[in-house]
Amino acid sequence: MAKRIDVAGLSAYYGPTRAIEDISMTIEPRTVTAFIGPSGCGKSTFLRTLNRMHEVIPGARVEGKVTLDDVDLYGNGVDPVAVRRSIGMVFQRPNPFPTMSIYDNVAAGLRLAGVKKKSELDNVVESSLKGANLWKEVENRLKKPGSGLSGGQQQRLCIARAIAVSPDVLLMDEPCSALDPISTTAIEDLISQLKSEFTIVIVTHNMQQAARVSDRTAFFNISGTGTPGRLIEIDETSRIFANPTEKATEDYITGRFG
Amino acid sequence: MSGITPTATRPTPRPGGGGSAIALNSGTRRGDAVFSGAVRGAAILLLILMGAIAAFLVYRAQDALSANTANVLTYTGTWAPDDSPPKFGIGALAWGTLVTSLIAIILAAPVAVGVALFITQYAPRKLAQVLGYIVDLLAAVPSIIYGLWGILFLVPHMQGASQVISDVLGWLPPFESGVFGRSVFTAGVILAIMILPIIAAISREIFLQTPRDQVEAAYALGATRWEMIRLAVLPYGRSGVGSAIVLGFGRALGETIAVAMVLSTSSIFVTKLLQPGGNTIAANIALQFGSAFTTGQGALIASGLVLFVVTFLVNWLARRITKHGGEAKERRGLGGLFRIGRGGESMHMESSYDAPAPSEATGSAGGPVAAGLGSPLSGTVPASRGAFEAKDSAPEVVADEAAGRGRSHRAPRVAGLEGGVLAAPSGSRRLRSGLAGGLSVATFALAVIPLASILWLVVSRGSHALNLDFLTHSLRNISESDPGGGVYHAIIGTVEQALLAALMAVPIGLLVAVYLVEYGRGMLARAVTFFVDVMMGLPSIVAGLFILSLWIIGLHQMANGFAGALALMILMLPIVIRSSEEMLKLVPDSLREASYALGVPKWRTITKIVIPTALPGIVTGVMLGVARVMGETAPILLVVQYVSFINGNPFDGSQGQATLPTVIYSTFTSPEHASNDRTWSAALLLILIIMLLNIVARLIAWWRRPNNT
Repeated sequence: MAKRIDVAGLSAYYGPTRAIEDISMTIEPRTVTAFIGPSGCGKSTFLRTLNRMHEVIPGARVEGKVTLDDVDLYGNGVDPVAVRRSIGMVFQRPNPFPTMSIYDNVAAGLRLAGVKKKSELDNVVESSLKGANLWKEVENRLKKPGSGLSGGQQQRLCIARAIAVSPDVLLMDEPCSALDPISTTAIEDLISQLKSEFTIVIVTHNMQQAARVSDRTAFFNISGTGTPGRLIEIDETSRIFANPTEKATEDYITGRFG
Repeated sequence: MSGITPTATRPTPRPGGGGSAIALNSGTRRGDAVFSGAVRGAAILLLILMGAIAAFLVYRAQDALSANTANVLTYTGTWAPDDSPPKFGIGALAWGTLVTSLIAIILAAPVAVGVALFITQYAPRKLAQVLGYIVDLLAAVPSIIYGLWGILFLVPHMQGASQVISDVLGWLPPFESGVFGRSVFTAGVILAIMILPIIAAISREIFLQTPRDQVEAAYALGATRWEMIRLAVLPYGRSGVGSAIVLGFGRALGETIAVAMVLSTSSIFVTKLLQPGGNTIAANIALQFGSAFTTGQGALIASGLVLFVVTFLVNWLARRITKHGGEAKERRGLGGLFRIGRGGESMHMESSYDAPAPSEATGSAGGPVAAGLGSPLSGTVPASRGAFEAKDSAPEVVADEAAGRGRSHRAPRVAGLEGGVLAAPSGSRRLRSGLAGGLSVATFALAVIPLASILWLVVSRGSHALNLDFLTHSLRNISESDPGGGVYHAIIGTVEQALLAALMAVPIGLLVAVYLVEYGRGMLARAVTFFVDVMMGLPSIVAGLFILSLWIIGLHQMANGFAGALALMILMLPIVIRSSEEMLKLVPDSLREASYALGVPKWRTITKIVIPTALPGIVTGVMLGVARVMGETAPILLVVQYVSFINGNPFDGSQGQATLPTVIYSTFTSPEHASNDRTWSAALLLILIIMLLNIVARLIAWWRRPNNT
């Protein structure tokens, strides 16, 4: 179930380039935490360090500490594969597996982990699709390719796929940026529902979205091109938007940025 | 172990949900280790194979070289290695090879690029698909067919053409007094016709991949179609087209059979292009090998070694030319989130996404050029600059010709920068665009004529002897003048050798491709990529020589069907690797990431997500590889003893096997009508089999293509 993430002194690199610097924060269980900030400030990079997706990129590395309920994710003997099973991720663009049906997409994580029992898979697929508010729309076409769905449906399919392996945390990297407003609303509603079961972290460019869906908001910024991104502040969302501590945050929120 | 591991103890939110089986253990790591070991092993095996080819050629050539009384590299006299004392040198042969290949590339490259531009940019969409398809099929026509057409159709017709050329250009020494068909020039023409579809097919693929947004950015600046091509299509395709041309050149250098059939060979040092005589390294090997003794074989192997080194150097040069562009792209990618060091074409996409503003788009288009891409198309940069200047100085709205073509892009308009002055593009710009279009249509017509002639001749002359008897009988006890007989024995040999080759090449090739795309970094990956390129350009006769010197001379194996399959395997490997590599690269990284994010280990991600996604393309590549090697003649001539009877066992040590190409090669000189008919029918059958394989392969690709929008 939902777990708490603690980050201490985290920096991430692409080759020699430092992308983010010295970030520390706590992400509470069963909350939605939003990351906001200008392009290139390292929000997405930071998000990807939380489930060790960052290191998938050749030459990329991380310094610092991330703990999930007191387990050091970067500790010796921790398998990044296991980390990612506990911390799921939804990407900016919907990316259902094109060779797979809707059903197979949702079942993919379990199948690839070795679950073969049909009844068990059926159950998980149904509950995950219901959990992603997609069941009613696809229950009669489960065997059809996932790529035949609309963009918003595909993104909910990807969410269903992510929650099917019952992770502790769900990371969302601008999950609505490729979607229309109606699909966006559907995803936002879904996020509010999912937070009862998962710890959710969402990167968004849309400040209204952050204000709508999140409990806490973290503001990231860079001091200039080529400099690493930093966490400026993290606080209750209402506070960040009404009365931020830092001037940079206020400038960004009010549009007086730069 | 850490607390994340025992998912099983975690209360599951829903029935059966993941509670089971998501166990963290070293098993996933062991799986990854085993898998990455396997693909790395295949990659290393490939390097060993290349090393062995070079080593054995050197080893076998040694004795002949030390007995040689002439300088092997510079001696231009008669090839006489079996004389005593032996005297041979490749001077004249190498010159002949270079001359024919240069003629071929000069004739073929501009036409091929024009054809590719016509198909991708000018032809209506539906027609374009058909045309592209035809070009692909023609690229698969084996050289024995070109040779047959060359000697029986082109050579007689080239006499008249040679006369015309020497009448016009006779004042230039190389073009003096030509009335002879079987000249170096004719050999160059036939090579040009052969490599044209190859260059055109690759260029077409590359032009098709031009990022849509760059095309639209160009149109949005008010570019005419031709300006758009120079702005977006050519800069994008430059390195790819350059390598396609180099590939075609390499193919021409190593082409054996067609030259051996068409050219009236002699050991003179060619200076007159339109007169008979001259020879190439590869053709000399094929023609001399049957009658060579020990020193003669060694000498031919030595010449094959030279050919090998030359193709090696050509590839090295090609890589050096394109390398800078590649590195620049990788550097660009480093700033982005995804995919660093994957190199290759995919990086193009990346950079196009990186460019938010049109001005930056030019930067990215011009970037590789600045990095020193020495391809003939680099002249496009000033052109693109010009177009942008035109935009600044002349705010005009350009009606797009493409709008009438039913393509998806909108008629691009540039809003008047200074108050919306709407004007059509200037006459000269429109004229240039029209001229370019007309030129590309003309190149296409030019390319189609010989190719249509080949098909027509093979079909018209081959069809009447092609009947059931022909398919079910061998040539045993059939003399040249006898009617009847058939190629059943050759069909068996062709199919068996090709399938055996595939059986060996596909597993190794796929593993190497996976290594390159999913694991490859650093020295080993660079070496493997390079040697795959080298193998791609490896003349088929050299593959034959390698099997001959290692397997038959070295290990005293028989010249049976399996030896042929080994040679074909070497030729198939790079095709399988390269096509699988391309297909694996096309699998979007987002799918890999989605899989990783589900906690799936890398090796399962590859075997369950990446390979299945790429599978139709991989199957297509394999089938195209099979089709390609089925038509091989030269290596089979060296390593498989030709027999006229049925031998269904490729491992039979006592007797060889016939294949369709070798049947054609061993019968085409016959003056007898009956034999001639059989030769053409065998040619038609070979073409039909290869075309069928090609069509099925493409149908698979089309039918199993994931319909991701």
